[in-house]
Amino acid sequence: MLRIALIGCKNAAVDYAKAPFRLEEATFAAVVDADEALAQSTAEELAAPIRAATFDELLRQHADDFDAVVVRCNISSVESIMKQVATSGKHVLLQMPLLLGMSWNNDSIAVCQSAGATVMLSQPLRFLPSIVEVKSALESGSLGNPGLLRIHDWRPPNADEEAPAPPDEKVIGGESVFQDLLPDVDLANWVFGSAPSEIYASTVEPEYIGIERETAGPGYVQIHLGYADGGMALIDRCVMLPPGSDYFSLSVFGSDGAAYADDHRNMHLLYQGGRPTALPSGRGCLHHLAELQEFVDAIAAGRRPAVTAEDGSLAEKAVRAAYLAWPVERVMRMVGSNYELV
Amino acid sequence: MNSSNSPKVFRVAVLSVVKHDYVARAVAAHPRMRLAVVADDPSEPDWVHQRNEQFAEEFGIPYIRDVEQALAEHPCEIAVVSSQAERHCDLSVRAADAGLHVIQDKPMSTRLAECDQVVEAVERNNVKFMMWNRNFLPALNKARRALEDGDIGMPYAFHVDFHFAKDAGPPKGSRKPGDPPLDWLEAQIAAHVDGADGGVGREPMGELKIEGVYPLAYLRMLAQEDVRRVFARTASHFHQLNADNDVEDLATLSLEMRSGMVATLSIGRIGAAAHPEIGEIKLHILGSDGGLVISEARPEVGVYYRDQPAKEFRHRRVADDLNHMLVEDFASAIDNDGQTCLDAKASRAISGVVEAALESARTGKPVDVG
Repeated sequence: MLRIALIGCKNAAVDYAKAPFRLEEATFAAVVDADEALAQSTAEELAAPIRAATFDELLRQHADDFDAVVVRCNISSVESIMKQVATSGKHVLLQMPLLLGMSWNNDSIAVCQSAGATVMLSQPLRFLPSIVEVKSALESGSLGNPGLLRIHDWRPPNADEEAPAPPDEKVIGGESVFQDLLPDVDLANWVFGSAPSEIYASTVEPEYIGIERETAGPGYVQIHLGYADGGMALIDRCVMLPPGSDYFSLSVFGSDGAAYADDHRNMHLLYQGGRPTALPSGRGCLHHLAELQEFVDAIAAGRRPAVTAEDGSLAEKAVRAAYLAWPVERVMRMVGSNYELV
Repeated sequence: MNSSNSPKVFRVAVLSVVKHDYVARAVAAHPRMRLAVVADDPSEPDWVHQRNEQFAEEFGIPYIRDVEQALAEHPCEIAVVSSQAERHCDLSVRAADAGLHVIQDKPMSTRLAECDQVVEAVERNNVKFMMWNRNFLPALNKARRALEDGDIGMPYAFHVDFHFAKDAGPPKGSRKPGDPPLDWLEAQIAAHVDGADGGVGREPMGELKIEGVYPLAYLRMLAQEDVRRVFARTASHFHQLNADNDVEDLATLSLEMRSGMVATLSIGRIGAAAHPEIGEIKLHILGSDGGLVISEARPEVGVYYRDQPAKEFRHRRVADDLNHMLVEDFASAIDNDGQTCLDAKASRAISGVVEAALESARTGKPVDVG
């Protein structure tokens, strides 16, 4: 039975609801959060017997009471936590967006891996039931060779999100819309089975439409990816929707068929006078549990997890290339294993 | 309007109807239009004359194998041009030079320079020109109204997904070793029976050139902006015909407008198996106050029954007044010396975007739109 320590409790009780009953071969052994009330309620929800205010405290007092950590903490604390995780030899499930441009994460991940620990990046999109269905259709061969991936991913700004402090000018700090692209770009890489060979990006600054944002940089980006054998992906990512629901649409066009995972197809209608209101079906939280189960299963089997640090690195490289390409309105092309402006 | 205040009825010459006779039929269905003659050049091959003759016979009007003779013997005010693509501009210029207003089928031309000749001829002869388009589909009307009403505030990003689920002959990879490449014109002539001959003509054309005017006209109407730069990728992904003739059946475009707005277009002939209806055609628009998702096919009705033919559409568009509105727009432009909804300059601008996109796809670099 794998014993998991949860580092950072925000939304965890919802994402991992009923995990104590549904998670196989694993339990939550501990939760860590500086917010004592949140830690307590999460510990109760996840049936975790140990609570701590910091990861350092957990390590000092309960290092032998857990085998793996799920890191969901704020960006500002992740550096020190990952260094401690690396030296502790614990398996780790790490949020993917935290990886962008932060080379110390890569160092910590390398230490973890050299110690034989499993490192999996959190990428809940890959575990969404709709995306699982699309990927399954692709892998079965029924859609033929993928030719085009189209993603529309619109969200309201996350006021609670802590902007990462850029360690140096090469790091994409503060440009959260680019950072938010990581999961979408990873999906594209996943669909095509490789990193993009060609990248072009365009953005819209919030000031253009009179929106004020606390986070610097564009609030909207569209990225155009080229893959081998003529494959292509178009992704538009917006973090400037008004507060409320988000919107996600993914379509894959293969040589023999297509698949559409589209919120537009999954709306209900509410009539209360005036225009009807669209009620999204919602995505539930099964994908979080499925991701966690994959982490547990990979550790148990001693195999590579579904989403590896290498996957994150490929997505990061592509997003970084897009970030560097858009201000100069040029294309980034892969030369060897790096991207160069053309 | 004429002096009696009853709307003037226009006499219409159909200059070739070898491709989409729906343009000529749509014009004929309008109460202010009367088809007078079908004409084409005598040098055209037999299959062209056969189609023209068949159409003329159906409408009970003469077919004359000489365009200038037909226009002299049957005075008309309007020409409808729906020939092979590479002849569009030539026929439109000749019609304009004869003093006729012109309704032309897509694409404007296979060559950008010819588009300039049409613009020049239309201006010199002070006649109206309209490129056939889909801007008045109910869903597009809805999108336009939503933007005009400020429902999403100031728009800044437009995305058009224009995927139509039709085949273009056998799938890519189906040609056996030693078999000759598929002939473009032969395939287009054969495809006429089910209306999949949008690229009819001697010169092979990709889907961007054949169909691109529709989504790019949506973009132009909704954004009211010129495209300044385009980055594009294209591929022959689905059909052997496209692969053999080195033209794309799938294309993606990143577009940047002059004011700072941005857009993307994804267009492709994705094969009949890829969608149960005509295809996934959608608009996604982002603005300062929200987003708008529009399905171009709506409103539609689903009809399903036992032994339904495989090629029959299960979902059928309804309340579609596109044809009438287009012809009404054209007649109104003539009446009031106004602009049509997609005039020669706008059509040329769209052709410029297509040309730039194809150049971008060839070079792998963003291209400024000329």
